[in-house]
Amino acid sequence: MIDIAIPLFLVACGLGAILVKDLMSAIMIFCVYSLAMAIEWARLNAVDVAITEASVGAGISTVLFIAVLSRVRKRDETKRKIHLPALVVSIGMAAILLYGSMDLPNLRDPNIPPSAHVVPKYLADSYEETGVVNVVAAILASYRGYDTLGETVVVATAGLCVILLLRQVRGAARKRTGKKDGVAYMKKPSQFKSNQRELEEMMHPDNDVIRRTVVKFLIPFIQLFGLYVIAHGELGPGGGFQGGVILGVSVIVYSLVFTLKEGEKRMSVKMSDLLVSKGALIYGGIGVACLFLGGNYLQYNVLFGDPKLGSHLGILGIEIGVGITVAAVMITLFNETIRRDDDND
Amino acid sequence: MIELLAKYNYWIVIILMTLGLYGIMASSNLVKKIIGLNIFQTAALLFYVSMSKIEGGTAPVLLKQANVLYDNPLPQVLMLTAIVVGVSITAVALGIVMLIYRHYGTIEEDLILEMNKHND
Amino acid sequence: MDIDIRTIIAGVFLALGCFLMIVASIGVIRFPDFFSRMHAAGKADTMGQSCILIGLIIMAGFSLVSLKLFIIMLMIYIINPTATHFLARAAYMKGVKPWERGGKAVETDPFPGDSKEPAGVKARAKG
Repeated sequence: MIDIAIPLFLVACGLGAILVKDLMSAIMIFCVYSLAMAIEWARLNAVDVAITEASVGAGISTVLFIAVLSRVRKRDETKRKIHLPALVVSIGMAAILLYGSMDLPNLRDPNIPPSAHVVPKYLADSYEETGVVNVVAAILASYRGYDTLGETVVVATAGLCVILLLRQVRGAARKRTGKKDGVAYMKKPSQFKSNQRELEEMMHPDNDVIRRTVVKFLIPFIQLFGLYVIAHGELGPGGGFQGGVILGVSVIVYSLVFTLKEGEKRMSVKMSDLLVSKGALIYGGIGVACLFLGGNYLQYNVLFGDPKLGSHLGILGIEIGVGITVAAVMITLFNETIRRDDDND
Repeated sequence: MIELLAKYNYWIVIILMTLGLYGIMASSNLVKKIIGLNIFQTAALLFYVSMSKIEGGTAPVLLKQANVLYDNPLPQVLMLTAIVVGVSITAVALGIVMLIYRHYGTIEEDLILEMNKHND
Repeated sequence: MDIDIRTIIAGVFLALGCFLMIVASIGVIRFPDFFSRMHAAGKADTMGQSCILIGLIIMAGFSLVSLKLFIIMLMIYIINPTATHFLARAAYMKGVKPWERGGKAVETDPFPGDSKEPAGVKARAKG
């Protein structure tokens, strides 16, 4: 029953997110959509995916969307009610996909083709070959290690892209705002700015006991949980991607609660920039170490005398590398989108 | 029940994909377009993960006893990384949206196109 | 299906939790202004969630799972009131006025000042 109800709820949330005109509501509905999606994945026994979706989709994406929304206008001002060509094209696509889906294999069938080829081998041999109980982690880190290396580099590249896009223009923007016919930049009313300063004073951590106590009590637990998720990835659901996001979130929460300036005292911009590439370096470095010790690239079982121990530690090492990169990228994405232009003054 | 569930998730995927595509094409607001993109992406992920579920299977974490039926771990691995890459894509897109807003003062596609026409 | 006393107690807690959650959601929709909505969401939600978790702990018995559920419950007890406090404080500082009897329900913009049209838009639109 619940397997039917949750997808219906997903469709309702999707409809709401697309049709609502107020952007803030659309983003909140999208957050609920992500959370329902995480529940659906837990129902489908994809626990690792569920953890990732709950922390990434419902957590980080929402924060990023709201950060952008605090800058731009908050209404979708599309004039026409229904876009006819778009409707025709999407319904056409739906019809074609529906026609195609009739030939697709039945879901939940044990003999479904996707689980026929290499999967039985993975399930049967992965413990012997990698020493890891969680098959998802074994495939992620060992059998498809190249793939994951590529994904890590993609994530790092996205972090670099955001730095290049937003940080560089900020420097140029300040030079050009003086010109009259230059590019139009948003200027805040001065009254709002003084409010902002007053607000910042009130928001100062010394003026709020509850916040100071609770957040300082909570953040170590969040970080501990993140490290647990990274280290526990071999024994149960978890791993570098999920744990890295949780670690990043701990710093993001700190910046959200005690302004960005305080956050950057704890995790400087330089530091997070460095860590973005350090994680990928650890991953690639373990691969090179394998080459030097006489194996193939990312063939972990040559790392130590005992092949099982070697592969175990190799997988742990690359999970840590992935975790560092993902955490640093999440912090960078947040810092770059949330920072206001006049914060540098 | 099982006969219904055999194709049910395909239909949901199709509906979500259609919604996402319509959202990308129909709304002229760039933030709404990114939300549509995200919905389209999660629909694709749902398609893969639905394939991994097997009736009576458990999560692919190996248990001590023999003869346990496990779900297919491979689609889960692929989608796990796809989610993290997806949020990176969203972040880059949002960064570009912010630049567009700084340059044009609006994030409505129609207005931006109009401004470009005037400037040519 | 045999029903023992444990199942009944757990069921009572779960039902109570669900009831409180529904009350909280109705309150969030029906109350007139931000602060009273916050009141509904903050209080009934915390109690509802902890009732559901207590029900689950009773179902799970004395094991590692129930310890984890207990830790989650503690975390909710700490986080949920704090989040409510932050939201109410931020709204108060931004100048959201509480609702008074006889007044209308007010919708306030959470980001005042930002929604103003940036300079230069009209000039550009004219070309």
